[in-house]
Amino acid sequence: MNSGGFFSCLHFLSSPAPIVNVTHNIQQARRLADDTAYLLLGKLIERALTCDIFINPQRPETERDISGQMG
Amino acid sequence: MQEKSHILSSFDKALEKLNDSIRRMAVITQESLGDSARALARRDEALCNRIIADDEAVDALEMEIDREGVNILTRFQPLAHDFRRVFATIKVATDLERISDQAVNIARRSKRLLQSPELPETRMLEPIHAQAASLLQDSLRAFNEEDIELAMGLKARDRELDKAHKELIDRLTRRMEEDAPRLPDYLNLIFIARYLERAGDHAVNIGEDAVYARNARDIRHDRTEG
Repeated sequence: MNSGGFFSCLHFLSSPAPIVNVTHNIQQARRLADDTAYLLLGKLIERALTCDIFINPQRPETERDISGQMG
Repeated sequence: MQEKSHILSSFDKALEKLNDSIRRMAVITQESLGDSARALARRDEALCNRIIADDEAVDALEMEIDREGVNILTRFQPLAHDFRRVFATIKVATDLERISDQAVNIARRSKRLLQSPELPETRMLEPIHAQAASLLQDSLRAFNEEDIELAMGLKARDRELDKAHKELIDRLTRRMEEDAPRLPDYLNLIFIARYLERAGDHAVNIGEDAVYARNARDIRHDRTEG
């Protein structure tokens, strides 16, 4: 199955039940998720609508990671 | 403004280049608006011509900033503050270009005023010229430094400019009735006052972009602010 088919399948399955996708791939999270939770070292840092967390993260840890900042 | 380094140094360089471009555009636009006041007061045709010529550089910079901004958005897909800063910079460039156009309009009207003897009422424009220039200066400082407090105060100051503009129009309209032969000259002054009032509106837009870049708040139609 190609990526398009896989994502369509996920979309279909997410209708009756929510799906949790754990990923390091920020682009994939942006494309797939309605809600995004950012975890760091096993701790939940913040959770929000995907568009909100990527445009206006509330926590500096999230901002640093998704912006690709050093330090 | 946040100045953190990114893992990709080419991303930092692209952001710095965009910041340089908007700063250059801001310098030329501020000069043009300031010069438009001096050209009108001194009846300086050469200065009017320079303002008109400088607008080409501002137009070129607006297009350059659009190109650079779109390039950053597509190549690096920035997020969070980086995204907001690039998006806001593109919008600020549009407002600076419009302010430069207003300076050109003032220069053209000033040149028309040179064809007849000086009107004493020309001096009446100096206070609103100063108000518009001050609004522009502070809006650019608010944007560069992402100073929310300064940005939030711009709307109230623009209302003062609007009030001064309206009072000036009323006075000039009365003068037109008393001094009908100079009607075209009074009309030119009224147009100049209108261009300054519009320049103030664009400065407020720049302040709104500063607020968006800093904390993602859209205050454009927020009647509770300022």
